[in-house]
Amino acid sequence: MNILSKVVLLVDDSQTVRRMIEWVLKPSGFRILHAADGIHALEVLRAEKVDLAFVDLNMPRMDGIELIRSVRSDKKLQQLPIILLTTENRNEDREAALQAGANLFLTKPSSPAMLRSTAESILGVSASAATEGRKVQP
Amino acid sequence: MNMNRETALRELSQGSPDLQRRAARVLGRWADDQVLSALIGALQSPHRAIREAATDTLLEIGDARTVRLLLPLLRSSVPAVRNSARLLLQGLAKAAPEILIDLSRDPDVRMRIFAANIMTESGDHDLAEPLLDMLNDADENVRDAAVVGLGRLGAPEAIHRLEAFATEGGSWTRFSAIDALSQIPSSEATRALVRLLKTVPAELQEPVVEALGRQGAPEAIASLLQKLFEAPSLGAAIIPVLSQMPASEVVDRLSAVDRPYLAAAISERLQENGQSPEVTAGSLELLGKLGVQVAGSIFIRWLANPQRRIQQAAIRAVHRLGLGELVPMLRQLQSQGDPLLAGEIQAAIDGIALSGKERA
Repeated sequence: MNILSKVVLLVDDSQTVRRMIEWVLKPSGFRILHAADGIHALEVLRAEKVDLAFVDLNMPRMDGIELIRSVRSDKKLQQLPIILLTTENRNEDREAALQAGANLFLTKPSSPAMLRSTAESILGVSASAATEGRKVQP
Repeated sequence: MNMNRETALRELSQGSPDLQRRAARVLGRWADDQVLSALIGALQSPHRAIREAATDTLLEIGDARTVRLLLPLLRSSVPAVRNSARLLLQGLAKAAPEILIDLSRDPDVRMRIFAANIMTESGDHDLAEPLLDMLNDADENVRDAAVVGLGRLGAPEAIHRLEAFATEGGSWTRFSAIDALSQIPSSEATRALVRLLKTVPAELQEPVVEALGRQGAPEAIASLLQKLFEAPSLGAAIIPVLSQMPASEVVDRLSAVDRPYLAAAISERLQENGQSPEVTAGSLELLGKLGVQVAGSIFIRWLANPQRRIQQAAIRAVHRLGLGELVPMLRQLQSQGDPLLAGEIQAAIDGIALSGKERA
């Protein structure tokens, strides 16, 4: 699959955080989608093919744990890699997230380089591949 | 539904989920301490509908007692309970701001972050002052939450502190400070972003350009043009911002010598994909107003674009630039009979004919 067709969904009620992660991932050339809470994220996931999701924990309407549980119980979505990214650093939150089915639990502020390399690693692309991908953008 | 106070309290604790939800709404008629405690308890229900009903009723009651009773829920181990409490506190922040200020000094970092988030979403500018105090917090996430909040509240008194945060500290907070400045509707915030455009490291220049774009203040145009000439690699960020500014304001700030350079940069972007319709239409308008001769081939795909706003912008640009070689294509468009394009197409054909540039 061409790197340019990889789609990353950012789920956070803070538009600033979504913009920040989008800026961090920009050099990788992924297509970025946004959702402001878990319910909005499920709508996006059911309408678009998404390859990776960054999900916040504390969100209105549907929080990150509930979203992950919904994704894992949906046959069409259950394989989606999910990184939970939050300011909450308690072990019980980490355990709840991993038990619900998060692939990774990261706490803010994570370094931009680490976030980018983690996304590239999960999506099976290297930074150099990403750069090449951008070069072929029509 | 007719329920007296006692029945409603009983149904809220023992009824079916639907009865619990209805009882949570009915209890809004009474606002004594027992009712408040019962509704607060309902916020911990596993059923979202019950939590939402209790939230709505508590918002309607909305007093300082509710705020005080809600605070312990922010420490719940269940995210859904924490979020219900946070949402309610956002709606009730004006009822008891002093309680939130106390929360902003809580020893637990998570509570201080909640305090900043709640103040942010309250939309109450009176809470900008405690958020300014939180910029001195020892924890980076608390400072970051306060930075975000000051932007959301559009607090002009925070501009100098935000500018300082944008130039020092971690990436998250620097980015948040730039984003916050973009949300403050004041020319001083624009000037701060313009200064940052000259001082931030290369990797943060694009976020500053985008922040200036969100502000949309014409006074940033000269600095954006200067940055474009200094760092052409930023063209992908700067051209879309300029294209959303009033085209005449951009043109007025350019010397005759610099116009061909900008026209070339815009033409290059127009030959790529991935721009939004707004940016494409704005770029075409600007290119036309620049009045610099460019290859007519650039406009062919945009004249044929299915979006009318893009077609209209392309027709006007072809007209202004007097591109005679495109008159046959204009006539072809005219033959399609779109009444909303007819006037502009005819004006373009006539204008080009008058200028004597139509290809024989």
